[in-house]
Amino acid sequence: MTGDELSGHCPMKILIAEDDLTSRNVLEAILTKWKYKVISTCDGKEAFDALQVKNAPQLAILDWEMPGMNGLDLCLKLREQQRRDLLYIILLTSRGESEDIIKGLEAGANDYVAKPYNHAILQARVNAGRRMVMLQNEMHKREKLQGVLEMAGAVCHELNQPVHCVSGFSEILLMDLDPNDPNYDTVKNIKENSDRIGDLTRKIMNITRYYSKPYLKSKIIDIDQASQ
Amino acid sequence: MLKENPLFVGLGDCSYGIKENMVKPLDTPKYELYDAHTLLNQLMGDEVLAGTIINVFLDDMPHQIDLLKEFVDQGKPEQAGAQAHKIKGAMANIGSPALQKTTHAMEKAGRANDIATLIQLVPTLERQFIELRQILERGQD
Repeated sequence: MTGDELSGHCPMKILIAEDDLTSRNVLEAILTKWKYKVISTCDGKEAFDALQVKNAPQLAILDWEMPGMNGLDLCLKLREQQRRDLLYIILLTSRGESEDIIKGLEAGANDYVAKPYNHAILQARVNAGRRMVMLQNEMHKREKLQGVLEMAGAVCHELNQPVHCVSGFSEILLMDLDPNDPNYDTVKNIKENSDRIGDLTRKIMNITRYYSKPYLKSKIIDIDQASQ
Repeated sequence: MLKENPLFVGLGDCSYGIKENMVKPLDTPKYELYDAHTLLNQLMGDEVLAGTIINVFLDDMPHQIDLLKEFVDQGKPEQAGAQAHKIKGAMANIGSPALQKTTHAMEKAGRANDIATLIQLVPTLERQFIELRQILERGQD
């Protein structure tokens, strides 16, 4: 399955850190074939910097053996950062001993692929990482939406009281006013619109799901659907 | 067809290395010097891409080998070992079991601070790379 197929839209970014040009070219070619957008770096320092930018890749394949900051040190440094978004790290290593694998995972790698690697295994591992990233992003999105809905609910709760008050007083006024009075239509208008605001706040407080509808060139929440 | 593409000679005629255009017969068996399946398999059969990667490899590798020789000449086994490891990765991708073996031995020697073995292996590395280059360049004519 390719990067495109898994995401359903734009290619997912993936960072690779590999000091050998030939190995880097091969890895980049394979990942590009799988429709990933590859950010290539040739050492740990360059990889670290590339992961600090806005919208940095959330998937990274790091070679263990690199001059300067190696893949293991890079893992440790990245994990020290306590990033908000998930960064899924696959360590590429020719070290196959159990203690090396443990060392790599303890340093913060999510997975490892032994070198020389088989492209089908690499693809399966990368796709597993991709699914983790997508799942994590979806959870973040839901948490964010939940926070927004809770805040909207609280605001609506606060709004309800004064709106109810306006509606009630305008209703009393309407009872006292003659329908031919010049102010009658204005008060009626106030009553109708405050009732409308009341309906709206009640609906917002009942929103439990996210439904959207097209609005201009973008989308807005469909309050009627979402509050059912 | 792979066998018809000169770049992937390793898949077919094993006497290729001693044909008329060669400078001299290969010292190392050709099947050990170059296995065309390796890179092609990694690239899911994309011969054009394989050709591009081989070209870049042929441009870059002499510098990498020079750097390794420099470390050996300067008596820096640890750096030489690390450089041998890097070259070994490239050879594994291109598909040269012989050079992979030589660089692996150099990597081990570097880790063991064994400069004598490193010095001893440099000519083997150079010779094998010249032979590999002959095969690859002939393949790309």
